[in-house]
Amino acid sequence: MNYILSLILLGSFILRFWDLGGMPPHLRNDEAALGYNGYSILKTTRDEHGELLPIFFQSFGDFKPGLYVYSTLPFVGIFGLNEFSVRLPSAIAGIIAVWLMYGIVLQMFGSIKLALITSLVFGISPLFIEFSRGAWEVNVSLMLTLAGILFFLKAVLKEKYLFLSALFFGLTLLTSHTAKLSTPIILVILFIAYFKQIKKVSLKIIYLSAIIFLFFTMLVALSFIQGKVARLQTLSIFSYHLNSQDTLRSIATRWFSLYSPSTLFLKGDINPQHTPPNTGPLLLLDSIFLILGVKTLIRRGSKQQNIFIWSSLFLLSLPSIMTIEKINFERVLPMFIPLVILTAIGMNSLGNFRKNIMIIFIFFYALNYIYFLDQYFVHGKKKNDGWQYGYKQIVEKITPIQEFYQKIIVQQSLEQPYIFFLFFQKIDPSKYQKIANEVFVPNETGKDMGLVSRIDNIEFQDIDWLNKKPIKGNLYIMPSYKLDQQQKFYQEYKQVDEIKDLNGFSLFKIVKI
Amino acid sequence: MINMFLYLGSVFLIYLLARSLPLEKKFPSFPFICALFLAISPWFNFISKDRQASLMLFLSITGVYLINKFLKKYSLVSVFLFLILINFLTISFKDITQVPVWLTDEQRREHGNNFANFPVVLIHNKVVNYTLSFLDHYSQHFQGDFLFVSGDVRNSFPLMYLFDFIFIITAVIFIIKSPKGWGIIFIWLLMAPLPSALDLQPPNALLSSNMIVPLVLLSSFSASYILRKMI
Repeated sequence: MNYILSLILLGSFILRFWDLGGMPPHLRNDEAALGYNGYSILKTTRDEHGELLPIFFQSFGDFKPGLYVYSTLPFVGIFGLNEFSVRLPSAIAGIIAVWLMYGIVLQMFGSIKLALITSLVFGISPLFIEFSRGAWEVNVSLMLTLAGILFFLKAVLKEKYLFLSALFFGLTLLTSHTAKLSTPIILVILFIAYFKQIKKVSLKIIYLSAIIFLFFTMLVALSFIQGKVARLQTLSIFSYHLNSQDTLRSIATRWFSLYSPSTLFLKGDINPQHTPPNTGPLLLLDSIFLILGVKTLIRRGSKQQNIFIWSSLFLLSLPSIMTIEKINFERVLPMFIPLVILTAIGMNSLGNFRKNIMIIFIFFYALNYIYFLDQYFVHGKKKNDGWQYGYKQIVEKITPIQEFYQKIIVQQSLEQPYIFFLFFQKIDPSKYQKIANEVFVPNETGKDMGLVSRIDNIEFQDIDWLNKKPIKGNLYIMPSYKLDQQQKFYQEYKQVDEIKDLNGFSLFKIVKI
Repeated sequence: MINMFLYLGSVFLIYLLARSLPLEKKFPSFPFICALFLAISPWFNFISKDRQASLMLFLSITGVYLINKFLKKYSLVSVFLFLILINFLTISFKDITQVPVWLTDEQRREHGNNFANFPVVLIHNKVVNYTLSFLDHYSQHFQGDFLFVSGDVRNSFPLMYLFDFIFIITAVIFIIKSPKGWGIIFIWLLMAPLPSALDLQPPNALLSSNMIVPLVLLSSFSASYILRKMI
C-alpha cells in the first residue's frame, strides 16, 4: 500500500512542481510582498517597514499573519529571490497535505482503500493544484489545519498527540486571515463529533493543550487590540450599512451560490487566480461521485463521520459568506476537505459495479482531467487580467536604462507596482526601510490599500497630461489604453518600448518625452 | 375563470396523486399537506396567472397521476416519455440558446497560430461548449439562490419559502435511507427544468414550473414525517 501512496505523492509532486516559476505566468503583488519581506528579514532581520521580526507584517496598509514569510526564508536563502522560491512553501505544503489526507481518512474511516482514493482525489484536485502553485497563505494554513485534525484523531489512541494538534491549530492563526474563523469552527466540530472519546483523555492534557492554543489566540487578540485589522473592515458585509433584511438576503445568496453546481463543477470562482476558465474547483464528473458519496455516507456512515462531514461542509463557508465578494475560494479552502472525502467515498462505492462500467468511467474521467489541464496550463495563462502580468517585464526593460533618465514615472494603481520593483530589482532592504514611511501614501477612505509614491528616481503617480504637463527628459510608463487617452493632451513623445501580453496584445507602453 | 379552475384542479389532483403514492398508509396527513403546500406556494400562485404554464402543470399532474394509477408496472418509463412530450410542447423553439461562437474561436486561438490540429479541435468545438453551457443552465435550476432567495431575474421574488429548503433537505435524507416509490418523483424533478434550460435567459420561473410539484411533494413529505413523529 505504501507503494501506491508514494505513486500518488509522486503524481501530486509533478502536478505541483512542473514549471512552478512559469505558471502562474506572473507574480501577484501579494506573492511579491511575501517574498520581499522574507528577503528583507533574511538580510536585515527587519521587514520592509523596518519592524524587527514582526508576527504580523504590514503590507499595502493591511496586516498579514506572518508565518508564510518566515517559511520562505530557507528557500530565498538557497535559490535567491525569485518566483520559484516564493511559491515553494505553498507547493511543499500541498504535497504534505496529500499525505495528511491519507492519514485523516484512515483514522476516521478505517479503510486503507478509501484513504488511498481520498489522497488521490486530493492530489489531482484542480482547486488544490491551483492553490499549491502560488504563494497562497491559505494553502499552508490548510496543511496545518489537516495536521491539527490528524493529531486530534490520533489523540484518541495516544493522548499526548493532543499537544501537537493544539500546536498546529494554533499555528494556522498565524498563517492566514480566514483561519481566525475556520479553525475555531473545526475545533468545535471535532469536539462535538468526538465528545465521547475526548472525555476519556486526562484533564491535565486537555488543559495544557488549551493553554498552547490560547497562547496563539492571545497573539492574534493582541493584533486586534493594536488595530491591525484594516482588511477585515473593508471586506465584511457588516461594514456596509444595510438593513437587517438585506443583510440576511445577501448572506443567503452567498451561501447558496457557493454550493451551486454551477460554482462547484462548471464555472468556479470569478477570480482567474483561483480557478481556470470554464472549470470549477471539482471536475464535472466528480458531480456523479459526489452524489454517490452523499448516498453512501448517509446510508452507511457512522454518526461521528456524518457529524464531521456535514457540519464542516456547511459551516466552513462562513468566512466567505460574510464578505463582500460573492464567491472567493481563498476563504473557503477548508470547506473542500469534506467535499473531497465525499467524492472519494463515491468513487470507492463504484467498486461494486462491473469491470466494463469502471473502464468507461475511467476513460471519461481521464478526458475530463485533460480538459482541466488544458484550461489551466494553456488557457489560464492567457487570461492576463487575472495575473497582474507585465510588471516583471517592465522592471526588466527599465533596469538597464534607469540611470539615463532624470525621473521615471509609472502609472500608479492598486496592483501596487512598487512591490514589483522592490522584488525584481532586489533593492537593498536596508535602503528601502529608511524611506518606507516617507513614501507611503495612506488611503483616504480607510486604512486598507495604501500606496507607495516613489523608489529612487522611479515615481508612482496617476499620469494626467492635461493637468500635469509632461517634463522633458522623463520616462513615462503606462497601460496602452491610458496612452491612447493621454495623447490628445500631448503628442511629442517617442515610444521607447512596448510590453505585450501572452496573446500578443499591447499591454504597457514606455514613452520618452 | 379558466385560471381559477386550473388552480383548484391542480390542488385537487396533487391530493389524488399523493394518495396514489405508496406512502399513504404510513403518513395519513401527507395528501392534505401536499394540497396545502401547493396552494400556498408563491411559485404556483405566480404561474397560475399565466394560462399556458398552469395548463401545462395541470396536464402534467393529471398525466403522472393516471400513469401511476393505471400503468403501475411501467410507471417509470411512461412518466419519462410523457414528460418528454410535455416538455416538447413547452419549448418555444425560436428562443433556443445559441452557443457564443467567439468562445470556441478564442479557445482555439489561445493554442497558437496553427491550432487546426486534431486534439485542439477535439476539445474546443461547438458540441463541447454547447454541452457545457447547457449543463450550466440546467444546473442553475437546482441552485438555492434561484429557488429560495432571488428567483427569476425577470421578476425577482423567492419562489419557495425558506422552511421549504429545510424540509426538502430532510426529505432527501429520509428518501436516501428508504427510497421506495420515489423513482417517478425524481425523474419528474430532473426532467422539469429542460425547457427552461434551453431558453435564452435561464433559469426561467415560468418555463420550469413543472418543478413545483416534485418539490412540493418532497417538502410536504418531510412535514408529514415530522408531524407523525410529533403526534
